Amino acid sequence: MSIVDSLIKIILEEWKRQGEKGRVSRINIQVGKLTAIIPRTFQFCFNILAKDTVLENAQLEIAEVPVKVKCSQCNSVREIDEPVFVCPECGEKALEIVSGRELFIESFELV
Amino acid sequence: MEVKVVKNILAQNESIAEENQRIFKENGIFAVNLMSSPGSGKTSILERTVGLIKDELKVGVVEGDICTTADADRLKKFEIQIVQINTEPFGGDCHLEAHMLQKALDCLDLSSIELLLIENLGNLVCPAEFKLGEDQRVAILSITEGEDKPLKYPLIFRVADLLLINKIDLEKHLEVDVQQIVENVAKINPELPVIKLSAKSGEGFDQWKEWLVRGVKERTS
Repeated sequence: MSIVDSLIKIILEEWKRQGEKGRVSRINIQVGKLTAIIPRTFQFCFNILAKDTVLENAQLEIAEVPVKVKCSQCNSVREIDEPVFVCPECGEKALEIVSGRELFIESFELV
Repeated sequence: MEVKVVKNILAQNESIAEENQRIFKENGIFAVNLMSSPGSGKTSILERTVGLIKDELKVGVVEGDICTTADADRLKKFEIQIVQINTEPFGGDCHLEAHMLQKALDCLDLSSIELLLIENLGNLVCPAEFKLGEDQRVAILSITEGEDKPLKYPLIFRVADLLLINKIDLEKHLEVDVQQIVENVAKINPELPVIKLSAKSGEGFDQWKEWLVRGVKERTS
């Protein structure tokens, strides 16, 4: 809920900077799979918090970002589907997460 | 019209967390964020830890709960600085956020604290997502929670700097496979150090105390 609240605050701030014109019709966000975000729940919270604001009825486009890891041994970058942090190529366990922790607002559309 | 923003949604929390970290550095405080599910023994671990360490180090505690001051009341006997945060006035949140901690810091005499133990809310999901500005994040898992928890809640075990496996005294009475817990943790985060302990018997607390004392020394040296 507080993450959605932060999102709405960021957009309202930017909307004011743009001259407080129009309504927000669409919001594009990127959510990594290794975050504590569930898109359906996010949408549910958004519907509640956006009510009676210029964001009401805006379409939330949530792009899920897969978890990718870079192996410290063989340097290969691979996507992993389950939370077992082992390099699919060589079995090494020391991996760096290169994507999957995103929680970004990319853009929104005004009409 | 499309408006490009490209901003981390948690940017505000993270900038307050950075301020908190600066406050800890300025005051020579080693701050530890304790995260676990409800009933894993966070407060019992705190009770034993404070009792063990308070004559050596100046300890402060921040207690996070949705409501009640029960946890802070349990620690009152030690006559240390304690602040209770109830998230209910903030909307009943299920985790602490950096701004809540910052308010709590206002209530403490920071110049007389070396070790700040922050007890997050009982939850294995959301606390992992919100940095508070702490120096280290400690996850706690009790053996009664089952072997599968690291695989079910990978994020918290991935972001933690140390894992305490609590209630180890119950191992002989239960069918739980502690080695399996350790192996599952290693699948998520092979670099995560693990200390097995029991807040009831005190087993493993020497190692935990040593870890805390080392953190304080590194901060103050």
